[in-house]
Amino acid sequence: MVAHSYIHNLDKSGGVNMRKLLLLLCILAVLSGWYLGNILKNTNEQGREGVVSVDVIVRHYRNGTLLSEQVKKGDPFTKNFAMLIYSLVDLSGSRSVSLVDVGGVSRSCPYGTTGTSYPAGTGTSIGIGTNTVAFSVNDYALSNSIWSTVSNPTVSRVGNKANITVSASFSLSVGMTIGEVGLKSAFYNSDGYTREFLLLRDVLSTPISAAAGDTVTVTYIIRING
Amino acid sequence: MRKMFLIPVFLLLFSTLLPAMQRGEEERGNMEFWMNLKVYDEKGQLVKEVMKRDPLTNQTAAFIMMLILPGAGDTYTIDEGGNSRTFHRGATYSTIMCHGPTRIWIGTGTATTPAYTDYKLEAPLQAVTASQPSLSIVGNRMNISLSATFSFNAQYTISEVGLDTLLNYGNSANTAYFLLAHDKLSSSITVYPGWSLTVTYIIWINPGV
Repeated sequence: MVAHSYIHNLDKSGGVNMRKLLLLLCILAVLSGWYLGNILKNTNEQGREGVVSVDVIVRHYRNGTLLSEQVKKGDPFTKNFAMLIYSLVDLSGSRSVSLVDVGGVSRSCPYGTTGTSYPAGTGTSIGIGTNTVAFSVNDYALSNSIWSTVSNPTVSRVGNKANITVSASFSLSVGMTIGEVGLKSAFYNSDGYTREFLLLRDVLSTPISAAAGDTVTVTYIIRING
Repeated sequence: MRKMFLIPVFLLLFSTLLPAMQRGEEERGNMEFWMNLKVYDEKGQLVKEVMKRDPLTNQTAAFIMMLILPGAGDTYTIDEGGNSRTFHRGATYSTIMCHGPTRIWIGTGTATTPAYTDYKLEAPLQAVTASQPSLSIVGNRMNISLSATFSFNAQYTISEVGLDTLLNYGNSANTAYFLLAHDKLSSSITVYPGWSLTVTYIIWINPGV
């Protein structure tokens, strides 16, 4: 009886040990696989060569004290931006690109031969707005927006990588809940006027409840090849 | 019980594949220059296919700066003749807009890696005018695709590819070619008389959105 009980207890404890071992192996398998998978992913994708990406950093200050910082990587590009890239390789001979301005109007930005030209001499701005609707490639404006001219860009290079950094600062005279940020640039149109076009827009992970007197800074980092 | 130990094996395989299926946050709004190369023998059979991202040149960085930041002052870059050229914002003649052919290049250079400062292929062999680019928009993802096909009447060892475009510069009607992307193949490809090679550039925008 004692021997039978002893053997029974051995079987029972052996089964528990096997289950614990199985659980441990499963955990190790998941962790090892995830680590190996990320290594293989980075190896296959050659790092970040051939990639242009935009990071945006939004900082909220009150009385000089940093209240919050949000960093969003991979800011999405609007269709306006895609059309500009398309015009860089478009060999149709049309030499114009159709963009939607911040008023929602479709504009033709042509090859200029009579004093007007495609990228304007001035007019890149960073903006903040209140809309929290998810990004769409067709976005052309921010809501209840405030715009500020960008700083001169700083360029840093390491090997084949380049970072271009621009920023803008907003000193708020009235409070607002900031839900989005964006960047727009000015181009001449076929009608001879300079129009502004939204190239980047992103929605903040957490809207910022900014009060009158607060300062918000928005920094864009454009990364090339890394 | 022994069969249950297949579970960790399955989990190991699944966990290894999972990162490859995901795009990180930083890849939401990327713009990526991909190059697809297909080699066909004299019978039209696909012999080899290569798909990889092509590094961008200093010229492309300069043009992106001008597109995104047009108020940032004049831009200087190098044309394929090695000459420094100026792009003026707000000038009379259009800049950063294709004036003529966009070309795809193949070459036989021996250096193993491209450089950001490359303004031409190391050993250019042949350029073909690309097809008219197509722009595709699906949801928030966009891609611009253009291709060119090369034919051979002799044996060559292809080791590099590139993409260039013809632009006005210097507030004038003058034009020059500017190299946008340049890459060295990890393995050179030998082609023979009667073979053909098709190179397609795909510019992905917002691939992860």
